[in-house]
Amino acid sequence: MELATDTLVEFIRRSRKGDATAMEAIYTKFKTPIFNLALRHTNCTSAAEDILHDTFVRVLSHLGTLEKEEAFVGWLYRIAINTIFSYLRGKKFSREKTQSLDDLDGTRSEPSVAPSAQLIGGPLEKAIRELPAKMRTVLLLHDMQDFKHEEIAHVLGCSVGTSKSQLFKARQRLRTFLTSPDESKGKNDAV
Amino acid sequence: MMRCKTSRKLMSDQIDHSLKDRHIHRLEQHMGGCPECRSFFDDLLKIKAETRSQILVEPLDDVWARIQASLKEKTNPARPSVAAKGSGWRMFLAPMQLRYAAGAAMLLIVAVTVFFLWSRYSAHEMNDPQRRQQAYALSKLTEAKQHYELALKALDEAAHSGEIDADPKVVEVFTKNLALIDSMIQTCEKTTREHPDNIESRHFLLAAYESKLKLLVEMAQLSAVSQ
Repeated sequence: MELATDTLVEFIRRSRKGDATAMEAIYTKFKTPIFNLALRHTNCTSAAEDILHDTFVRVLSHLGTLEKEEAFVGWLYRIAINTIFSYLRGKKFSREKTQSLDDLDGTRSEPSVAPSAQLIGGPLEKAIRELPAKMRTVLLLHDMQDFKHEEIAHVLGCSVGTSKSQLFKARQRLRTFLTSPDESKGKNDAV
Repeated sequence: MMRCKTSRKLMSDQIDHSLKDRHIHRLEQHMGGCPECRSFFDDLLKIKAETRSQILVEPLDDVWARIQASLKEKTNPARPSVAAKGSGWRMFLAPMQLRYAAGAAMLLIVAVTVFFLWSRYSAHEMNDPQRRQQAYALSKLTEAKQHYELALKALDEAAHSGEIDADPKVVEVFTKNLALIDSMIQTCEKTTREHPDNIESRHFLLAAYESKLKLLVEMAQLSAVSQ
């Protein structure tokens, strides 16, 4: 992941002054990776769009608090990941506290999946969804979005060693899941 | 000879091309004699390649429009209703001109009360104390009118001190009402000048002032909030 180019720094400076075109340029640059990060965590298009919305509203309305423009990407991802984890915690809470009507008569229907979520429905995607949230984040940032371990450590607030070991464990779990799918089920979303 | 557990710990770095040279040789050597570790390594390579090739989905176009709307809302929070703005403590936080309006409104109450007493007594034959009360009422009425005019001037400035960023229909209604009240005030003032003793025309004039005062307070509040 390219950290901060001169153009991006310029866009950030202009956005701070309220330039809507510069804000849109920043959004356009990062919307797809942030949306996909959210989508792979939530498996729900509308939830991922809400996370994308909340992340950019927070980022663009607090640009004034960012001390160095060079730190923008790390800051943006940190906000995005906090928003995602927040959503997952809320989802876990509501799942624990509520019971669907389907559960009452013993039949539980599969949640409806939006078209864009169906695009990511292969066995590997399913295996990725089964990973614990933080492990999944490291895998997605490193293998899908080309982050370096140093950058992941900065974004997640952990050590480089932790990032490396989480990535190795994630790959190991994916292998286990893909070779014997039943063994790894039910361990996801542990934030 | 490297053990399987150690070799697997090194595999992730090897896949990411970050393994140190001295370990690469040892790992290759181990995998050369361990088909299980070789298979494990090949699987990890495939998983990384597959993960990298996963499609990236685009979000819907309307997300940016929603973000823009939320940002605008954060910059210009929703305006409270005019009725809510005019109540209680808000008046003390309003600009100085609005405090003039509050003062003028208090004077108006005094003036109307005195005017009421005066008009009530004027209907009967008056004795000396009542005449003194009438004179007092007239002087207070004149004073109230002066304060009224000052307050209206201050409010007029407050209401027009900034561009009112409100619904154009609301601004249009305000402007039309103001024009109607001004027209009524002019008529009443003309009648009062021509017939200074006509109590009814004075009464109408004060009522017109009161209407303008209320309308200007609302306009000034709208203007203050929109700035």
